[in-house]
Amino acid sequence: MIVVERISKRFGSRKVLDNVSFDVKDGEIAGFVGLNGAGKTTTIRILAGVLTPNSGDVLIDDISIVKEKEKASMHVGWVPELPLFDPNAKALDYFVFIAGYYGISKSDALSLGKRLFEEVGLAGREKDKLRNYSQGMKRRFLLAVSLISDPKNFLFDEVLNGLDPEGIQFFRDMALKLKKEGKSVLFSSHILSEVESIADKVIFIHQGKILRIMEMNEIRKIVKSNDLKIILGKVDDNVLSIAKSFGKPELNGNTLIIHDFNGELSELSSKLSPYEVLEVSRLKNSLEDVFFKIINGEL
Amino acid sequence: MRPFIYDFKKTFLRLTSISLLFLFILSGVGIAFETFHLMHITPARYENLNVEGYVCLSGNKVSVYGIAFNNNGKPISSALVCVLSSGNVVASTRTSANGFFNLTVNYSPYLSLLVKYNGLERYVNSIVGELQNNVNSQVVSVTIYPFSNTSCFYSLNVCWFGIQVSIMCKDNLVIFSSKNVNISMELVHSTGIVGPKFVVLKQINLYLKKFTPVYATIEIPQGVTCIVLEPINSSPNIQQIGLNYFKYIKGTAIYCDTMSNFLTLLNIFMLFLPYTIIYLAYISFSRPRSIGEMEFILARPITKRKIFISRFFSNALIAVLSSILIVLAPAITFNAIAGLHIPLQVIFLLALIPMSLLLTYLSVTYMYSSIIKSSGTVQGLGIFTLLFLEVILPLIGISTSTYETLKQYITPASISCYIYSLIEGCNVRINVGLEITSTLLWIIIPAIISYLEFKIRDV
Repeated sequence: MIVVERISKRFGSRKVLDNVSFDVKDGEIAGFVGLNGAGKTTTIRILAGVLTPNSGDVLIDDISIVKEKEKASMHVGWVPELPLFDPNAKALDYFVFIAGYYGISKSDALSLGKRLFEEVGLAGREKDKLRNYSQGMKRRFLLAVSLISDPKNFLFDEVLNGLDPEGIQFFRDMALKLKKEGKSVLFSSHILSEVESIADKVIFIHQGKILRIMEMNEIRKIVKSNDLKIILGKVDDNVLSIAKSFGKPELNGNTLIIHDFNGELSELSSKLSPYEVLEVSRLKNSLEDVFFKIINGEL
Repeated sequence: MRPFIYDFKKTFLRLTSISLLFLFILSGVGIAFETFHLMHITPARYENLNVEGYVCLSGNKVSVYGIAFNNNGKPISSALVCVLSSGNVVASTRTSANGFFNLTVNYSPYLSLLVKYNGLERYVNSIVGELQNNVNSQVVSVTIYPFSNTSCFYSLNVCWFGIQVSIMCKDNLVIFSSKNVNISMELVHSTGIVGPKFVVLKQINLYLKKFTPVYATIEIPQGVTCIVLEPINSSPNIQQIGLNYFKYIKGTAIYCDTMSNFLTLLNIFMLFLPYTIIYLAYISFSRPRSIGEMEFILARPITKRKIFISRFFSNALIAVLSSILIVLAPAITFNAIAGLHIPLQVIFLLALIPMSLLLTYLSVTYMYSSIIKSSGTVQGLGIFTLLFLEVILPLIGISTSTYETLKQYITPASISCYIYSLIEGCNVRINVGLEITSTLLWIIIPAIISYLEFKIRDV
C-alpha cells in the first residue's frame, strides 16, 4: 500500500507539488492523470525515493521513504519513463549489478534474471547491449528490474509512451496481473483510454495539486450521457423541427445529435424514416472529457 | 551484502579502476627503466663484486695485492683472479677467506686484471702502464700504484695516500692499506657558509696493517656530512698533507643518482597523473549523474549519503593504492635490476606526494560533479583546474617572484616541498605545519562542499 501524506516539493523558487495526498491500496490500480508538467513524474520520483520532498511523507507498506529509505525501497518497484541506465552495459549484466543492491548473489541474480527476462518477453536478448534495445524492450527491461525484489507496490511512469499496440497490451496485462496478485499499482499515463480500461480509481493532478480522486464507478456514471447520435441518408430543414420534440437537436451535415434525449426511440425512428436512418447510437463521454471538465471546474 | 558495501566494492572493482592500478604499475616500471636509461647505468656499475688493490713494481717484477668484496662490504672468498697480458692469462689465483689475493708476474706493458665470481666479472684495465725507464735496469725503489673497480654501492670511496677507504651499503667499512699506519676517522657534520665548521659526531681509531684488509660495520650517526681522515702520531710514512676531508652522502652513490633522476621523472609524470583520477571520478560519479543512472541506483535500497561516501572513498582508495604503486613499482624494479634497496620510509614519504595530489583532484572533480550535472563540463573544468594549478599558476609565480611561496603553501600537494627536502637531505626553510594544513585543506574542503551539494541538490 502506498500512502502519500501532504507532500510538497519546490525546484528553486517554483513550487511543483503542493500538499499532494492520496493512497493506492493493495490490489488496486490507481490511474495518475494530469497535463505535462502537472507534477506526475515528480510525485512518482518522490515515491521511488529518488527525490526528497520539502515537506510531507510517503509510506510504502507503512515504512517512511523519507526516514527509512533503505527499508522502504525494498517494497517498491519503479518503471521510469526514460531509460535511466548505462546504455553500454549488457542487459543481464546490468540486471545482476542492480540485483546486488538487494543483497542477491550473482548466481541467484543470474537465474532470477533469466526467469524475469522470459516473463517480460526479453528471452534470448539477455546478452545484448542496452543501447541496442528498442524503446519497448527498454521498458520491459525496466519492468524486469522493478520486479527484482518482488515488491508489493509498483510505480509505472508513462510506461505506455512510444509503445506499439502489442507493448501497450503487455503493460496493461502486466498491471492487471499485479493487481490480481494483490499488489498496488500507480499508473501514470497520457493515454487516458488505457487508464480508463484498467484503473480502479483515477487521481487527477493539475499544477502540482490533486484536483480530484474518483473511483471508476463514479467516473463511469459521469461518462454515461443521454445524448443521441443519428446518421441520416438525407436531410432538410424539417429534420430539426421533428427532433426538437425529443430534446435539443444539433445538425452537422448528415449527423443529427439530440442532447438530453427525452422520448421513445421507436417514435423518433418512425418520424425520421423519410430521411433514411442509417445509424442510431448513444453518445458517451470519455475520461478525457471528465478530465477537462475537472480542470475547468465544471465537475 | 549491504548495499553500501556492495556499491563500494562495485566502484572499486570496476574495469576503469583496475586498469588504472595497472597503468600506475606500468608507469612506475617505465619510470624506473627511464631513470636508468637517463643515468646511462650499465650492469657493470652495480654488479655485486668489487675489486681494489695495489700494484707494486720492483725491478721487472709486478706484484698485485688486492681484495674482492661485495656491495655490502663483505669479503668474497674463492673468487678467481687472473692477471692478463694482451688478453692471455699469465697468472691466476683465488681469493682467501678475507677476500685477499696476491699475484706476482714478470713485467709487461698493459697488464690487466680480471676477477670472476658467481658469474660476475670485474675487469681492471691496464693495472700498470708502459714504463719510461728500462725495466731491465736496476731499479732500487718500489713503486706502488693503486687500482680499483667498484660498483656504485658506496657512500664513500676514496684512495688517500696509499689507503683505500670505502663505506659500502649498510654502513659497512672496507679499508685496504698499502702501509702500516694508525689513522683516525672522524665522522663530522659540516656547517657554515664561509669556511666549513666541523662538529665531530664520532671518532674511530684504526690500526692498519700493510695489505691486510679491514672489514667493519660502523654506525654512522644522523647528520654526518663528511669524513675526515688523518694519521695518528704523525707516522713517518704518512704525512698530513693534501686533502683528507671527504664528502659523505648517506646512501650509496647509485642510490643518490637514482633518487635524484627518479624524483625528476616522477615530477614530470605528476603533471599527467591527476588526469587519470579526474577520469575515474567522471566515470564513477559524474557520468552516472549526467545520464540519470544515479537516479536509477537511488531507487534501490541505498541512500544518497551512502552512495556518495562509498563512491568517494572507493575512488580515494584507488588514488592511495595508485600512489603507492607508482613509487613501489620502481623501487621493486630498482631492486630487481640493480639490487638497489630503497628504504620503506622513503617509499612511504614519496607515495605521499602523488597521493595528496590525486586526492586533491578527486575532491575537486567530485565538487564540480555535485554542482554541475553535465559530465562533459565537469571533465573540462577538471582539466582546466589541473592546467591552471600545475602550469599557469606556477608560471605566474615565477614571473612575479612568488613561485616558492605558491609552490610551498598555495598549490595542491604543497607538502611535496617538505618531503623532497627530507629525502634529498637539503635544508629548506619551510613551515611544515602550514604545508600540511594547505595540503589537507585542498582535499577536505572540496570533499565537504561536494558532499553537502550532493546531499542538498536533487540528482
